[in-house]
Amino acid sequence: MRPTERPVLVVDPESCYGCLACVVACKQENLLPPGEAWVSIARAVPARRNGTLEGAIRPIVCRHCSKPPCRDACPAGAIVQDSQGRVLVLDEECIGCLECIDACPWRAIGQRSSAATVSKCTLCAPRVDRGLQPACVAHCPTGALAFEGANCTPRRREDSMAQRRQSKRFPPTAAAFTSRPLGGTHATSLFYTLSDQ
Amino acid sequence: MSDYRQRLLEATDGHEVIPTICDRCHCECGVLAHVKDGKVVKIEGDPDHPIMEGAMCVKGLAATQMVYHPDRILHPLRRAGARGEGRWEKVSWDEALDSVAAGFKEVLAKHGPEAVTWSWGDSAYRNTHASKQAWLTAMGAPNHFHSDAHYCFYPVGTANRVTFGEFITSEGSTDYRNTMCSMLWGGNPVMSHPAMARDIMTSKKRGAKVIVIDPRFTETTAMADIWLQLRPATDDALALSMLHVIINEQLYDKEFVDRWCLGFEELRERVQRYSPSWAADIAWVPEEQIVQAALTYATTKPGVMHTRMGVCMNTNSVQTVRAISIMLAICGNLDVKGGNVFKRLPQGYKSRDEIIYEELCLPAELQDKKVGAQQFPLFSGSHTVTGNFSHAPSVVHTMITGDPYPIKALWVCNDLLVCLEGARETREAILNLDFVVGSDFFMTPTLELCDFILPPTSYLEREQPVDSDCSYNLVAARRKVIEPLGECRNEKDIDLEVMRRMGLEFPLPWTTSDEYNDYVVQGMGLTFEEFKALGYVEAPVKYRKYVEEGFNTPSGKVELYSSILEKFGYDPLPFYAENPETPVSAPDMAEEYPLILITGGRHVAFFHSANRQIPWLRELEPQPRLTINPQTASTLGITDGAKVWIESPKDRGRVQMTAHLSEEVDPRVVHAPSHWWFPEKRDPDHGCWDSNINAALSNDPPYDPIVGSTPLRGCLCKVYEVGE
Repeated sequence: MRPTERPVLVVDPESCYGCLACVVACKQENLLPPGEAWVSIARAVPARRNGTLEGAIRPIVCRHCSKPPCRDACPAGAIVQDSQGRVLVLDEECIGCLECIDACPWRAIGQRSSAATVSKCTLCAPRVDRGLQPACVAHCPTGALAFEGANCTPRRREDSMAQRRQSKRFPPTAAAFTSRPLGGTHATSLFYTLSDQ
Repeated sequence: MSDYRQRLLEATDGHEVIPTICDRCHCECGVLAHVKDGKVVKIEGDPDHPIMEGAMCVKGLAATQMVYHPDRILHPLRRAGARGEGRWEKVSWDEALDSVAAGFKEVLAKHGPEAVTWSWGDSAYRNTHASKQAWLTAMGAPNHFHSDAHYCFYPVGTANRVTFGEFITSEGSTDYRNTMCSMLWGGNPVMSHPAMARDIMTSKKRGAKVIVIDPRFTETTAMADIWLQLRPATDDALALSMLHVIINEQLYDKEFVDRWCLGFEELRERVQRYSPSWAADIAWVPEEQIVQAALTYATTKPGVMHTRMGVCMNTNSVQTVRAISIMLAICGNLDVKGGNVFKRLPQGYKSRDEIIYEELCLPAELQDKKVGAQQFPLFSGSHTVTGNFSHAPSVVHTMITGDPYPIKALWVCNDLLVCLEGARETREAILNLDFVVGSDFFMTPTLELCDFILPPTSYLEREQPVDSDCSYNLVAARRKVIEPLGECRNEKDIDLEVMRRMGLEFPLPWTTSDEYNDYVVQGMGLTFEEFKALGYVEAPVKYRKYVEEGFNTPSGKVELYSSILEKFGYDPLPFYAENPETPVSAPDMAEEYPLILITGGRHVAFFHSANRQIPWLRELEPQPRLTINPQTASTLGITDGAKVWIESPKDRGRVQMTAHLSEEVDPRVVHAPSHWWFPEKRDPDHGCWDSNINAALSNDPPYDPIVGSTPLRGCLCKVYEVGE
């Protein structure tokens, strides 16, 4: 696959230290209600590996894949890719089957807290169209989230699909900080490999 | 101005974009506030802020939910029932201000100025400290207390001042941006100063080393190359043994020590008793790790040394910080680029400290009447080397006992019941007063005990010059973004109006908040309007300022051997001392209360007691969680998510939290977050007895002998499931 010119969201999970600014910046920009988050932070409960205590903190966010598995999984044609490469949910077309939630390797789609339909990151289209960074990127202090002209198609990890969490609701942002397992996004840094170039 | 900022400022959708400075915590990040139809609709970071460069934390980003919260107090209120009954009625400002002035005057007439006091926390002081001090000074009233000065910043302030003459190991002085090695003691800046902490992460990317000393695995320890997971409150042992290594291995900066340090030989002799193998037993840290940390800090230049609250909440706090900060001096990291830099504000700018502690200073004989001045003369009274507070635990005792004199009136600007250890006694103390006035944004368990409530404006509704605490050379302008909501008023103007109605004289030539703003910047040859247009003003950065200025200590040198401490009868050299209630010092007590309790690790969503009612923030951490090692939990039959009691010795009390099983803590240690209350509980206690760890902690002695700090990180407790 060739890199495209369109700007993309690039995630460097090693630079994330879990300050959660992206979560609230996104909620403010997109006026999301409680229980709905288009970016969240997964945090693995620290565990001992080779005698050292290690923890992992990872942003969970849509990568706007160039070949989006969520779009392919949607039986209603409610997920589309626009000319800018943004992967968007057409709310009026969504039938609430939730197939896309399972199909997303980043676990970045969730059901609305107040409706049967799903919603997801729009890459802050109104901001980007004005030449601004998405709100999460603008407020990420460490560069864990960046907005660059590079390709970032996710590498599919079929063996991790089985670990997908049970709930199809959005990962409540707080859940990322509890000790309960977080399913497929839980501390699997391979999951965040950015490119299949 | 950057092109990017220009694009941000361009109005869209009818938004006006106004740059200002956040004050939801003391980081004071640069903000661009979007205003539409007179309402703030969005907050974002200002990429032109010289320190934060557009970074902000969740607290600042969620400010609109605080300003427009349906529970915010928007009108002056008068108590309509018994104290603490929760019944209130609206009154006009005129009536409220007259009654408040009369209430304070009555106590003054009956009991004298010692009887009137002000309590403040970390949020209110930036706007109201100068005007409240003007009020106190005009009355000749010696007492005011920062609820946590004795264990928060002032052990560091005192240790720094007696050693170096000024502050040096707290944020602002720590030049993470240029460092190659950071040593961080008892702090988690990712949660407490998240926008600033990015400089630690960035330093790693250019190969800098990070050393963290903390009993907990935190977001910051996750970045560390070396993490020393010590037994809580043994930082003194660890720091002294590192000094032992650095001195005996001759890794110190000999030239600097010879020219600029006092008492190095005495220090060398003192640390011989503190070998790393000795410290390893005391602090639970392997000897080779101690040596490795000491060698890394001493040989990787330049290095930052940062002390936070973890090293302050114990009964040997000043000497602990002394031991740590001496390491910074002898390793040659003092006032150098990438080390710890002395703060200098732009010339002509009058700092808040200068106004409060110099211009509004009371005569010595009045200062020495402060509660705590006799016992802690370097913390309180005319000999103080720092903030000049009354000692908060002693003030609470005085309110109850009347010893050495009655304290009968209080103006409270923080949630004392949640913020100060010994919460039940604090409640009793407040109920014992004749007259209590409160100022806060929301109805808190403490405000419920007041007679009058005077509602302040938020930072978006007022303007002022800002001394940036997270910088060593920056001042900035906070701009008014919207008109005050309801009848809220700038706290400075409330204070000054109360003074006027009490018939007090203004001690300085400002009688309104606008006059104050001009007063601060007039030495720069500017009016506040002109200063606002500049936005940010940085002083030129200078290193090794001591070469010209010397050090502001009696000897003009860095006093490793402190002549000030010696003069006041304290040990002039740092030493190790065990906390009063630990498995080592109180083995009998530890049989029934076997776990070491540390409290108050921060969550980024909250600033002390603030933000529990803000939906975007509370969602990030909905409930207080007690962190307990899975091994310990299994022995106690506690499962993840279970409700548990945390109980203190001596019937001090117990509170409930949700068990969070994690290896973040040692099996012998548990961590309880602090400041929990539940604003959604509408009764007047607002859940302040449910999970507030300060209701299970003591404000009694023994204290740190120099500043009176209490052992809130490193005491004993037991934990058991609710329902047993």
